[in-house]
Amino acid sequence: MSSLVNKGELKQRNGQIASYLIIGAVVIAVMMVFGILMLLAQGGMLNLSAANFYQFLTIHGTGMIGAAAFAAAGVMWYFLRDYVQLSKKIFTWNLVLFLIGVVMVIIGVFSFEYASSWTFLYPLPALSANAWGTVGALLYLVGMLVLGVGFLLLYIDTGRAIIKKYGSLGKGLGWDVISGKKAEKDAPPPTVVASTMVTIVNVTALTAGATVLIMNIINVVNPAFTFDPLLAKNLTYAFGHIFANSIIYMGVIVVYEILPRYTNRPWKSNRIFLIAWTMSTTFTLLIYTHHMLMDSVMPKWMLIMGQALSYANGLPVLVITAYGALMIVYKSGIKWDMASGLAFISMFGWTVGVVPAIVDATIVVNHVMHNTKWVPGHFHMYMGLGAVAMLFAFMYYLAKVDSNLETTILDKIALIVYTLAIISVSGQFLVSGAISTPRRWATHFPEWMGPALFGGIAGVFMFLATVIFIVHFISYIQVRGTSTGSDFDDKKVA
Amino acid sequence: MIKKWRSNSLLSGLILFGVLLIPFIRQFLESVMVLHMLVQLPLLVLVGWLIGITITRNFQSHFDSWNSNGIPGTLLFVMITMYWMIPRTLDEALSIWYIELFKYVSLPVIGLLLYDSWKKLQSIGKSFIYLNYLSMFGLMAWLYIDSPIQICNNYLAAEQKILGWGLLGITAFMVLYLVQAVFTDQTEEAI
Amino acid sequence: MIQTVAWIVSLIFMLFITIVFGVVVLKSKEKRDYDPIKKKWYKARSFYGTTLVVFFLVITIYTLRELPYNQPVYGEGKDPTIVDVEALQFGWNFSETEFKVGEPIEFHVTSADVNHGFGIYDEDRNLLAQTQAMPEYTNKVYVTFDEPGTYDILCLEYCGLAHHLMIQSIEVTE
Repeated sequence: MSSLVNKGELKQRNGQIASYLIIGAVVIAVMMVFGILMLLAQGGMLNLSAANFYQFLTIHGTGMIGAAAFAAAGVMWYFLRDYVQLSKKIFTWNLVLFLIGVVMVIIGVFSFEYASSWTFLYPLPALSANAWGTVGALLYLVGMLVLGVGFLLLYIDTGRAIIKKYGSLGKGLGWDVISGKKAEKDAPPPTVVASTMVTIVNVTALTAGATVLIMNIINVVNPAFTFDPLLAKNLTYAFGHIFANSIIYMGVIVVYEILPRYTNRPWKSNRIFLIAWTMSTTFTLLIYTHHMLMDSVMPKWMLIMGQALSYANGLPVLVITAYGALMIVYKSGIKWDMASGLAFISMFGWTVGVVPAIVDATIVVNHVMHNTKWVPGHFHMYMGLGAVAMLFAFMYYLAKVDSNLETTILDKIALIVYTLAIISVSGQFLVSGAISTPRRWATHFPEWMGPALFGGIAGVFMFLATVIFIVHFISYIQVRGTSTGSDFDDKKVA
Repeated sequence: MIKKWRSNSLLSGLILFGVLLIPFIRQFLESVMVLHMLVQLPLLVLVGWLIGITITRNFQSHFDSWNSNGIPGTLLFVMITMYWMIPRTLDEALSIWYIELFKYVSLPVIGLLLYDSWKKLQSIGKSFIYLNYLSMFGLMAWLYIDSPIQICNNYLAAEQKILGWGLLGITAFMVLYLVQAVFTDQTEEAI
Repeated sequence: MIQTVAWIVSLIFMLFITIVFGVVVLKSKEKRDYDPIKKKWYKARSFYGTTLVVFFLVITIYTLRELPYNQPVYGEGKDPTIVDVEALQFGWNFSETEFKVGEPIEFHVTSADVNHGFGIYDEDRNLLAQTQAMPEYTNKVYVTFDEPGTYDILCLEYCGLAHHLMIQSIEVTE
């Protein structure tokens, strides 16, 4: 890949990628602290005022999704630039807008006590029962809008670049290969397919998100303008569900790119692979209604569709992506290290995380599990053990190919600790859900406290492991570009 | 040939402007809310666009000096059009003479700026503006259809609803256009 | 109880996935040609994929037979008690709070301000049923209590700083 760019330019570009990842990782670590504090408060160990708890809740959800999406966009950009011509200016702009948006959100939440949780369900931003004022709400909502603008620009750019190279987004998904017009050997590579999918779903999500954010802003400024709360809920969850989901679809690119290098086995797009990704694209756009299964005023067909398509959305990952990862590793003689280990664990996290999600998407189950801690149980597994592990895998990979930095036994311990800790955190959420503990509750009844306390303690270990990952990455940044041999050496990882 | 076409555009712009100024036409278009926002206002922008074809040509350096990448002009266009999407402004245009005057001046001016900016804008900027208007029109449609109260003094609640459906139609059309644009083959254009 | 079934089913499948990933890791050190592996496991995948699709279809159809949205069929002369519930920051307005065992009840739930959640908990703090309480809309929950006792209504959608204090008791007697 490096034949087109000289080494200096590559170094500069990797610098920006590193900025994306370090910002993302540090924000994720800080958000873990808020998560730990919340669990300890629920576990009865810590006395936290309700106002503080819900501020932490708001910043934890917003910050985790924002930071993980941001870092994942960095991962996607790093690999996608080998196939299409991306705009560096836009990449920088997204970073600038991200930082502005984050600062606004932080000021809104902590200085102006804004605590609507990330869902900002209309009309909560305007009707806080005097907990926060107009300024806090506007800082948060406008901050989110600024974040959204940055991401939207980024995805417009990836869309433009993919269309320029491949002709259309349909061809980026390999539809001409599916229909048989083009041979499988000419199919777009997995990175391009995944990026196309993410471009399609996130442009949709961000447009819906902008609409509902501006709507809330209008309502906060002038409460005389009212809107339909059910439509607002639909748009909010369409935005939130799709955007949060896109993180793992960006993150998986690192798995597609590095496992073949570690195993010396190809991972190419074939027809079934492409069909799976087209399915993922469609379903990801449609299944947000599984967040609204307890709104019986919704058209029934939409809710039934929510269940059926949520089941179907498990198929591409269970049958194609995870299976592919297993096949490529099976009897490959792979040399395990931090990057390959985390990449493989992330596929495990994604796959097990799908299970409680599908269970909860069943309407009769959702009737007694919706908005219990079962839901965070599912997505902590899916995001913490899946998506975020992908980000860490990439960080170790980048450090490996772009410097001479070696990993130590400490990193390996951190990997094991991280894995066990996030399984514990997710597990305690699932147990809490199974005993009907509601999510987003500042305090718990005594019978609900045990799992939360356990989770808080496990969270501390997870945080420590994450700090070790970050320290390694910072060490890499300091010695960046010291890699001997060619600047992108496949032999080095093999 | 091109020159002739250019002067024609100036002429047709001025004629259109004149037609829109005719009291009878003006009153007719403003009497119905949906005609006011979705016919009169866009036509006033079109006046500026047509005139702009000639004007920007003759004063290109002047325009380039402050609007070289098209972003300042576009921002002004976005701000003015957003102002005219606020429900109250249409109302005020009917009752306050200087708001009406502002309408007849501001919209042709931004039409002109749009012509100058659009050709300079990069494709990312164009796509962004397009998506911005898509969500704005969707939001306005939602506001007008859903509003339980009569927002304007001069127009009835039923008229607000019709306007809302009109805006929703535009949004739907924009979505369809977008979908066909990204899913049909663009390779020929790229070459 | 549904929660227990969901928990056990999830555990079984998660355990199975863990075993599969574990076995692959244990076998990863061995080195074999990829082509025969691909051939063998692609074939296995066709079988596994088909099984999974069929399994999902069966489960979907099975679980969609009876939905909580459907009004139950009431016996002759057994009209349901309709209870109007209005949620507000931060409390509940019930049109009545005392019920009999075996009495079919319809909770018609709405909200005066923001989104709330209406969750019915039994004395052991198990969630029995829920719906969303939304402004401008009325969601219905159909319940018949089998056991006497005090049941609690908890708010299940984040609605502001006193969200966790929104608890209302209802009495069910023989």
